[in-house]
Amino acid sequence: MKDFPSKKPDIAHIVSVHMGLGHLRAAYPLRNFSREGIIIWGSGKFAGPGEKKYWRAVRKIYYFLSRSGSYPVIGRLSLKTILAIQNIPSFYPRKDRRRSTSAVKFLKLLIEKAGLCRTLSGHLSSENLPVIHTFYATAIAQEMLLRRENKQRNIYLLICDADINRVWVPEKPQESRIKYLVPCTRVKSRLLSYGVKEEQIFMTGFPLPVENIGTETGLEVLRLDLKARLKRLDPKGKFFAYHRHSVSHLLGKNNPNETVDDRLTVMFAIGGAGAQVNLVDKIIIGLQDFIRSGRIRLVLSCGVKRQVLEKVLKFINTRGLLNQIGRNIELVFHDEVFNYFEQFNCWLRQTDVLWTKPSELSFYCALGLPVLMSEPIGPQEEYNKRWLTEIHAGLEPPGLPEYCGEWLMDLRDNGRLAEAAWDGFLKARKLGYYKIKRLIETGEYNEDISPLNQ
Amino acid sequence: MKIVVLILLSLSSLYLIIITILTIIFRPERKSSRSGLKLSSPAVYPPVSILKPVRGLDDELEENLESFYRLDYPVYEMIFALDDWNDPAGEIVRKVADKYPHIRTVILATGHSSTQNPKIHKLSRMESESRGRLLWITDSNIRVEPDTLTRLVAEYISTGASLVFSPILGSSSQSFASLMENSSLNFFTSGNVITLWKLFAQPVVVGKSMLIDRLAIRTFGGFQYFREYLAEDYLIGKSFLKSGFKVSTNYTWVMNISQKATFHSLFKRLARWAKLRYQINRPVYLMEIILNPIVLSLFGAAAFGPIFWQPVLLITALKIFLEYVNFLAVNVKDRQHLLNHLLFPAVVVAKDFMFLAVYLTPFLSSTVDWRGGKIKVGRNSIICQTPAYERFSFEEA
Repeated sequence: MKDFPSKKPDIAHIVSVHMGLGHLRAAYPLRNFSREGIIIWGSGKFAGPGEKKYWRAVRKIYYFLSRSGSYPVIGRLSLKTILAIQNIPSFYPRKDRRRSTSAVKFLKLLIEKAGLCRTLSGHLSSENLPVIHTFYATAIAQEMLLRRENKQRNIYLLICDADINRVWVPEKPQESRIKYLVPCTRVKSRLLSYGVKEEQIFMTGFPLPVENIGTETGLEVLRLDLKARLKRLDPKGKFFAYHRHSVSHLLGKNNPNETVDDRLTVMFAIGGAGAQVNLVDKIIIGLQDFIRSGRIRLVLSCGVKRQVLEKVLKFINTRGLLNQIGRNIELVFHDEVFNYFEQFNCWLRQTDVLWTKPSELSFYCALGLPVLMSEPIGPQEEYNKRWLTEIHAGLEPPGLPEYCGEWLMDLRDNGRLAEAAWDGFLKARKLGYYKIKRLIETGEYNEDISPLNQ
Repeated sequence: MKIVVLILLSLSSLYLIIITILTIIFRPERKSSRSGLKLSSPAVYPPVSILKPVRGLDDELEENLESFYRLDYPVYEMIFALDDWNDPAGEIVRKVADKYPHIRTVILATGHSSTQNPKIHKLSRMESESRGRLLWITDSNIRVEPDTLTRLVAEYISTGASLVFSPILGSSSQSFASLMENSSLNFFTSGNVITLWKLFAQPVVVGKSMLIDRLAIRTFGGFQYFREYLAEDYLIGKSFLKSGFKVSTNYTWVMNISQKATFHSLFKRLARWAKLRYQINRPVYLMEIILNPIVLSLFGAAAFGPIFWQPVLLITALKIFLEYVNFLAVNVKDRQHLLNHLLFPAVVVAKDFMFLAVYLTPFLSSTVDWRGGKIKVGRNSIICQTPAYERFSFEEA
């Protein structure tokens, strides 16, 4: 994308893939690092001869598998099989896991024999600018090809989950020059166990959109939004009874004359593959009375797939809530992925509760958003869920989605939502964008533990 | 094999008989001839914006536009979109608008997008300038009766439909090719519009007239939702249905004026539509050949010899008869000219042979002629272009 044309020199090339929205979402905040924008490898003009078909096939399989849990027998069986292949072994007992797996060997085979990503370097406008990848295959392929050509270039790989499979690391990690940008401590420990050298791991945090944060030192946007959110999330004052002073200390004092809309805004993110679209109907059932009375505003993030939007509209129509669109129901959709992210980030600012499967969006808890976690798909999402639970930013729905209106109000009234929002803000890293930028530009890197500096 | 061909011919004849009967029952004049079917005026009048993309001088453009200024509907406005101010149609639009200053008229020059559906490009701009709760999209070669809009709105109010579509009445033929085009519209197009709706509740939305609830189109993010597709009318209907919006028709016809079409222009237009239908639903497109029984029976004759000549004659006679009945019932204006009656049998046969040639075009090319340009279309009529790095179509996913 070229939405902010700039005369500033490029910082790095950004390479991502379309495999769900996760890898693209990680790349999106970094879009201005390069004037040529984000390269989506495997789509448009960015693929080697015959390679596009491969990526399309993989994408189709990915989407099928993401949705397959909802199909009987065969769907569930194939989902289980693929999850077994993707399995991330338990971290404990701690041990050396650098031995290559079949997935790693298969990837190597694809790169060496099938020519995966062999034309990637040719698509980059500069020969020495660092490259930030958000998907392992392109990063590993590029490194192998550079090595073969005896060329040097800084390659960064941005991790999008709270734990990762061995396939994110090349066959011989000790020889690899890939530098890892990691979102949390667990990933760092995992990379070390896979044999990656410590000096090649940078705990930057997941890059969150700057439009939701503000400046690095001021966090103006984040503070402003969170202050208003906490008030909406704690109408009975139970959270503030415990945390008033720390909130004032970190976010600034409240203006007593300031009024806040007490309508609760819940965003449900359906996901790129549309795997959770059927949950929308249940959520609408659970919230319809609250929506009609204006006590809850529901933001449905439909992603980029037209089928998803149309199905969501059908649910809304079936429940007779069409006239609530634009009032207490909002739809976030755009068939161009980066425009969708732009809308999504904009709506996040007004969101009080983020309901999503524990995908890369888990890291958005750092914006002070309580995350209601729906069923995870895949082992990495299981680990994301665990991470969210560990830092107390994620909540498991305490009841069926058809009754979500009831339990959401209970969670709000007893201050649990506000607590989760606050914990996410305190414990998750929010300055990923700035730390990555500084690391690439100047090589500076430091790990902070202060809530406002990490 | 012979039996299969005979069965196909029988099915074809049966379907064409049904089409004929239904077009007679729901013919354009029925509202005046059968008072029981006449709809009462709507109690409330939601404001309507009539969106009219215009390009070049259509046959009787001035009269067509003027018919929209003579509607008996109390609250409406006219929004026109030209490609640019040099378009000769602009002068006519201004001339007509000046005659009716009491009706709010907006004229826009929207430019032309080479990567988007040109009609959608214009509709998006027009929508942003419009004020109506309802949007009535009509082509510039469409002419209407004074009560057309009232009847469409009545359907919108009585059924709660978010999209009201219409059968198309081809009329005003002054050339052989025009008569072919108009009888094709009246029999093939409108016959299918009515039959598929009446028997199978399947809407066939033709973009020449669509009354749309603005709120519904807004939920898709506006007309831009359809910008990458050339068959926007079909997709609007499909998306509305899939999204749970009601789609309906009360068989209020709108008139398509085609006076001086040539064989070349007709072939181009039919080929474009055929290519779009092929990309939208291939199995259904393949079955369309059944609706051309003259050609089908000739294939039978070529394959099985003289035994098939009798069916060929029988089928040809039947097809001419059915279309002629349709012509008499539907095409009020053209039936007043004796020459049209004399030419009609030849028109039917020539049209069906042209249909065969047209039918084959999607198998040879997926590029369509559209407003002077060539556009390659893919599945669901998506406009194929080399995506730039920042553009990414998720159609494939």
